[in-house]
Amino acid sequence: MGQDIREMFRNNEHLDREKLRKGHQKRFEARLEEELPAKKKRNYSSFLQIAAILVVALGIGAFFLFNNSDLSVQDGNQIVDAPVEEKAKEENTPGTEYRFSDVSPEFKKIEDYYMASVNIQLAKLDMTPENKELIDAFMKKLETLNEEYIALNAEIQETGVNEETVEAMIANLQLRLDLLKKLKTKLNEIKQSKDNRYENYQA
Amino acid sequence: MIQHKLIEACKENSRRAQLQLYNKYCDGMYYVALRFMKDTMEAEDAMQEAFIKAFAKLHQFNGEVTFGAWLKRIVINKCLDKLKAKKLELVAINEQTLGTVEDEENWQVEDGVSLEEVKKKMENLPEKYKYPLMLYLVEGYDHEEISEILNITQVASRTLVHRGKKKLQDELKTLSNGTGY
Repeated sequence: MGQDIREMFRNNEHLDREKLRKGHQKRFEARLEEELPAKKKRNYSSFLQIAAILVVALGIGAFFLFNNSDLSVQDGNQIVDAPVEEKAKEENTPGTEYRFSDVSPEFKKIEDYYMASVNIQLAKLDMTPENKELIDAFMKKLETLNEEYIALNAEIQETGVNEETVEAMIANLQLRLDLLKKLKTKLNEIKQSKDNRYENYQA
Repeated sequence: MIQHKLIEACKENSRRAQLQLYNKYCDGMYYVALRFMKDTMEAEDAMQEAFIKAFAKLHQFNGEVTFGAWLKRIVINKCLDKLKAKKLELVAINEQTLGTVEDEENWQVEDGVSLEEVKKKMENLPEKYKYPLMLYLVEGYDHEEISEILNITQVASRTLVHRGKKKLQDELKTLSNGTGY
């Protein structure tokens, strides 16, 4: 006797193969859908990371924002020659378009946070006839940003969630805050130079 | 996409990644299932259920073995579960002592016996021998693995494989006796 059964199996396999019946993938997909329903929460973890970083960055940002306005009152004639002529109009029109924040609660948190910050800052601005032009320009800029934002939302709806678009949206929100911050500095400067003049006057 | 990334995506329940993995492994896993289930419908069922179970428990996959090997174990477990549900008696064994080591290592059959014949005979063995023997010969598991899969002791696995082999050899002997001489 000469053959080892184990050897026979080792040497000869994979021959007697029947193909899977047609449509097996369809059946599997149906099954998957039933057992593990899609929840649309891709990018969840990377998303949380972005959110966490942003919240921290914002906290710091906000801190400086408030401090800054106080500081610049104190050291009077500080010069900022940035081209800060752009500033704008009431924004934050929700619009009826698709909004990513309706789908992703995490993103909604971020968006709400920014929107709230922007609105608080806006409410704090005191409008005077002198700075009206400046503020109007700023509002116009905000308007543009908002349009872009809506376009980004539409893009997400069309092409699905991807990191770049989401990042762009967040950058958009952040830009609004940055602009506001600049506006505040500028307004402060104007106010100060006026105060100075007034003081000089009295003296 | 690299397999590692695919698996990560599957953990996030990405449909596309899941289907990609499915398509990559479904044929192989189907053949494994078919060796146990025989009926093509049942084999497909077992295979697909195994995939879903694998996706649901993907976080338990630690990369110690390849994904294919991990998946295969799940497929086999699924098959055995199904067979058990169909009243497979997986043996209450009295763990008898084996024959000699020599005896255990003797896997010889007559020349001229074809693999087909071996398979056919194995198919007709009592189930309590058939599955351990299949796991050993066809799927290539060792006794430690077989004992895990069948939830029996390693000694029992050895015993069953050994006895199954004995029976197989006997069957094949009568076969060649009947035809050859």
